[in-house]
Amino acid sequence: MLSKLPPTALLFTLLIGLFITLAIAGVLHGPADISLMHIGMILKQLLLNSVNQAVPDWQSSIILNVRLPRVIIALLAGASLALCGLVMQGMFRNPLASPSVLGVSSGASLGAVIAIYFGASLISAWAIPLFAFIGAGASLCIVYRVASTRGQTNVATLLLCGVAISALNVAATSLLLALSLSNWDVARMIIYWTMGGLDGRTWDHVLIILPIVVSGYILLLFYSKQLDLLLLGEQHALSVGVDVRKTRRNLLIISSAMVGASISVVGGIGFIGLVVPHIMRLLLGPAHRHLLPACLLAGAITLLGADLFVNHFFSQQAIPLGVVTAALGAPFFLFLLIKQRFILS
Amino acid sequence: MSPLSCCNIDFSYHKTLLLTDINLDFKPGEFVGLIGANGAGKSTLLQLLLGLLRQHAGTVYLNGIDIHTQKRRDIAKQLAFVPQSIELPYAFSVEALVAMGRNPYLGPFELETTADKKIIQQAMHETDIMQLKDRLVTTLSGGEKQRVIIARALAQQAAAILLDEPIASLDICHQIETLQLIQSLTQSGKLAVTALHDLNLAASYCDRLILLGPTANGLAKTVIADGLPEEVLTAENLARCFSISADIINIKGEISLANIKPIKHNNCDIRSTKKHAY
Repeated sequence: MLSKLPPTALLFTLLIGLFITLAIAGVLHGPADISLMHIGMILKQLLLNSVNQAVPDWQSSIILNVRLPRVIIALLAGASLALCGLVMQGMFRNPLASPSVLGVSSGASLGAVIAIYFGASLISAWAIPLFAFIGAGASLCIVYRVASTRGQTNVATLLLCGVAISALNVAATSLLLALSLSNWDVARMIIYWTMGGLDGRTWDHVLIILPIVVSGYILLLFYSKQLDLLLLGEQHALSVGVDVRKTRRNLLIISSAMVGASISVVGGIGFIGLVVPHIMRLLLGPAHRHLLPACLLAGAITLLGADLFVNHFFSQQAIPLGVVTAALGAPFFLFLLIKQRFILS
Repeated sequence: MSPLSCCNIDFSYHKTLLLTDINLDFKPGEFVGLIGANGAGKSTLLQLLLGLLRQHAGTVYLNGIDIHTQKRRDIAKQLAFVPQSIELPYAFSVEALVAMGRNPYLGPFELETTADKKIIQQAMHETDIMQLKDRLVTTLSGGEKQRVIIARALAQQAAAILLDEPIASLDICHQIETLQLIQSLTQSGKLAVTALHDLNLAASYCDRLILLGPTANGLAKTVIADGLPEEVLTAENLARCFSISADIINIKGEISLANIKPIKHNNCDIRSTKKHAY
């Protein structure tokens, strides 16, 4: 199987190429018609701090305050979701583990909806991300506590508990939405937020997500060997010197912070965390020193690609981004699974 | 100083006492077989000796120091473990898997040095898996996987190696090969403690057997006998710990069991209870 696959270097070149291409396309593409030359001048102004009168203010405002933050947020949120899925699948040795299955995503959503319902989001832009962290962290804490006894984690219990907590979080979110219907302004805000997406995202949102995703990724790099060893199972990892309990706890904290940050900014986009790590593992094998950078790039590419796709082909309809990631990712994932099954059998 | 020892170990699970009053002392170069019926606590004892489980009383000493005060990285340099399950669902190459044994010696971003690579090669050579080195572990047979895991344990360069039923899922030829491999390790000065089910193989390969069985009051398990195979495998011990009777054949100190039959107790005869049930 592996002999037919492209070498690692080729795949990384492809990923980096796509990453750059899509990032540029994201800045160029939009409903407002701004010429390539003007965009070049705006970016030059930004970088050299010079003033050029040839470009109208509204154009530079669209590029700098609408498209640029949108592209950056799409890249960061996609990368963050894919990395979290990779880490959770690896450390629990389970292909089903992902932020959404373990109840982390729904916990973050519930936290954010609480912030909106009780009006905290009107007081500060940081309220939603803060409540989302708390929601994600609290859900993960409960799930992990219930599933672990004496430093050993039962994976089946963990997943079942994740499903239960998820159901509870979704129920609480729906309850808050139902209660808010008497006050249409709040209900509209909740509905708008739960649909997720990248519209109207600003540099404030970039400031929320950027530090957490960048520092989270750097911390994860320190754990790439331990993640490989955890794939072999708890006892194997312990016997070659991995402190499984401490490693899992730290990885859970890092990944829930990353999920909280990305969900509070773009809403629930569940499919990337499940599928991108799988596809990368099928292409690159199980070693995390390759998988971590690959998932970073591929997750970023997937979310920005999906966003560009929606904006280009369905600019009139408001199609949620999660629908597109699922519609594009699922068939490709199925194709890879079937292909793998034929080769293995 | 003994590489591994424990004194006065009590271990309970869900408030039920499982193991009690375990005192053991191991020497370098010993091939120790840990025997006992299902549920006698062989795996539990191995995990206690590794510091994977925490006892409620007593202390496990690794090179004279309480194992629970040591870091897992440092423990891994002195004590290697071959777990019971050898499920390897992820497609690492054989060489990469053996290289994981060097983990306790390497930092998060350090690659294997020439010296490490030499140790990895040596471990693969000793376990006779050089020809498999580029294969993916997902494509290996049970016997090959077991040798790869043992090679990984060897790459840790630990003075002691604990194995939890390493031959349980192997055919007879691979069972003998694995035991001979462990024997050759002990001959080069390593301590090996192996949980085993097959009493005949245990008797013919191990220098020392430790038999776990019920205490006098029957509430917990403890060490019933500890010594040479001929001292441990007596008719009385077999009846007490395994509920079997057997002809014990002793040919020049080499023990083997033949004509093994279950002893029927009134309370554990399956057929008689079934009759009552129907």
